[in-house]
Amino acid sequence: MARISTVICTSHSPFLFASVERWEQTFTLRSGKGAFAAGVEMETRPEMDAKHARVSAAAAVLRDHLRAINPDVLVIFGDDQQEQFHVQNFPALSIFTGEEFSGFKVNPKDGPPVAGDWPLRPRTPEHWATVPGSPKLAKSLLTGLTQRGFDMAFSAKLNDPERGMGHAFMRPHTLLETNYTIPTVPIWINCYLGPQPTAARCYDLGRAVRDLVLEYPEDLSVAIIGSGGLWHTPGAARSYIDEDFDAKMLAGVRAGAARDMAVYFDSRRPKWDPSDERSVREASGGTGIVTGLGSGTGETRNWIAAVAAVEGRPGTVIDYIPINASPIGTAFAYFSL
Amino acid sequence: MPIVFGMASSHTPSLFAQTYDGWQRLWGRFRGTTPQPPEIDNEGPAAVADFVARTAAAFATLKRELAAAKPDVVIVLAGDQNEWFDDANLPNLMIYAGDDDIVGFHNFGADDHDPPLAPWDHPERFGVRLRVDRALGDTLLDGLVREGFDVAISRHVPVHAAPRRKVPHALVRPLPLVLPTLDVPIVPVMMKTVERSPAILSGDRCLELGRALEAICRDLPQRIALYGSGGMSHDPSGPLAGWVDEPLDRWFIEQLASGTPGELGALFSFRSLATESGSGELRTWLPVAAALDAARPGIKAALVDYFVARKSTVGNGWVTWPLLVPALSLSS
Repeated sequence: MARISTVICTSHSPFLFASVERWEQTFTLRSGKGAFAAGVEMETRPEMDAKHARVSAAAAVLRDHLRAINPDVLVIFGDDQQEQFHVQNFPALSIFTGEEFSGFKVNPKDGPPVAGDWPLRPRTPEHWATVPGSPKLAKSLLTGLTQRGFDMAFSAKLNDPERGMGHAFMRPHTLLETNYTIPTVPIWINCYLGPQPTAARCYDLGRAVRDLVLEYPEDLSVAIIGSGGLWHTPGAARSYIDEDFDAKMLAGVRAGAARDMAVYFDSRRPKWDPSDERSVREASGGTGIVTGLGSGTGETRNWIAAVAAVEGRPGTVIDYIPINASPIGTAFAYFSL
Repeated sequence: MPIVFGMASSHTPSLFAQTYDGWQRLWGRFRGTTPQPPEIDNEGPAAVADFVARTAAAFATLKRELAAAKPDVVIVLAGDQNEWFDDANLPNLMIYAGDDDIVGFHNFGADDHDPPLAPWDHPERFGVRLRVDRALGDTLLDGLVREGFDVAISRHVPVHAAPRRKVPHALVRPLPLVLPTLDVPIVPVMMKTVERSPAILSGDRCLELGRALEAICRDLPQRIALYGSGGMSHDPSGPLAGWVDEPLDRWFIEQLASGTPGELGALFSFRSLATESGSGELRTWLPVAAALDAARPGIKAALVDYFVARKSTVGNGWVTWPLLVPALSLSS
């Protein structure tokens, strides 16, 4: 029977892969557009160097942990930011059941991680990688989840092969230096486009994935990854880091208290009146990216689903590094099982 | 004003042909290489003429009753057959809540022509434009997702998996025959119906969807009607093409007519050739039945008509439910 050999929760911000010069450049470009709340100051260069080193150290711990586990399969909970899906048909929950997927290792564009006319990277081995899927496990999860009342969409192949698989699934491979060889089942959770699934629903999804993995008849070591977060509203007006929110989530990780994470997350859900277009826009962007839980912070859903799969087991938070220059609360955690 | 009216019907291609030759052409297309049942010999020109007349009468009944309900908007439960979606991104549930009209083609009379006309080559004759109530679509998305339905969001009409057909036939073929006028906006609630796979909505899940729709609509100001498009039993081009499962259809209708839609939750809980393919479109009737039952427990549907037409490869059915909330009449 298959087993869950670890759960890893990790931010996947482009800042994790960028130099401090890019961090500075990003802050400057964004602050010129009023993207920071009053009082959010860019770190000094020495502070930035120290945070950059902490990111590298945390990533190294995760790498070593995954290497020691040496899983057969990764199941990644992640989101899509109009990489595979567009507003013609944007799934709430979906799963990739194909033989393999390809995408940019970090970013499609070569520049600071802000919107701009940066040169497109070539799809060469330096920037582009192919990851094996795990179709048999994926189809089993698709069927099992649907039979448990999840209205799953699926992709048997990439919807937009030119753009490639989204960052939420490619960057964990890059960060963890898997050499892109570990067969991977991507599970998409809509974290951006309103209305997004409740955290309670994501918790239920994680519990169901846990049950289905444990029932899966093959002898497989499965590592589950929650990809994204924590608090960040990149590019939105008056951005800041809500460290209280992040602390609540990390307390949940340490305690394995996925349900508490979901309850707290949903208590912070912005309210909107669907008949009031402005309130919808403020809460979720209408068509996308806005502040609060409708934006990057919404990726915390991926953590909640992942932690739900090991609910009750204590997690280890490697580090929590708020980076004002983005701004983003980056965090790295794992569960030894 | 909550849900005021509900109805469901087949949308078989043959139902939109008027002539024996048209029916023969469609039979040839959909029977495939499957050996046909002996009853097929009874479906000569006179029988087909009867089917054509009964079809016109049945759609006219739906249209008349829907018009009497004076709907502000019609929520349409419908499936897709590689028109909007393909396996690169195939939803179980999806709602289009956008500003743009849905523009596609019906096929009325297209197969009566020799050779058959491709509707997309004659937009002036076959073009259909459907208006959409985006606000209600948003309300349904918001309410359903909040209640744990994993509904895909659409705010632009999908890029077509079938670029010529453009729009699911479940929408553009029957709606011009049943909407009081094409000015009445719809909200399309798309359901996965025909995939031969176990990763598809169960009967119980379809009933839950209907109850959730009713709860969301209960306090809204509009007069809302529901329409389920598809079914009944059929397997066009499949191993059972032409072999209609009349016992299944009759049992299904009996549950609706008895006010016991809960019995239908057992459908699609196991795999069977009899309930895969086109018969899976019966899923679109279930939310209608459950919503009406939630609005008025035990409400009984009326059978408008049902006939087995093996040359259409379908058991064709039409049902309506009694009007829940009469419309105020200016003359009263």
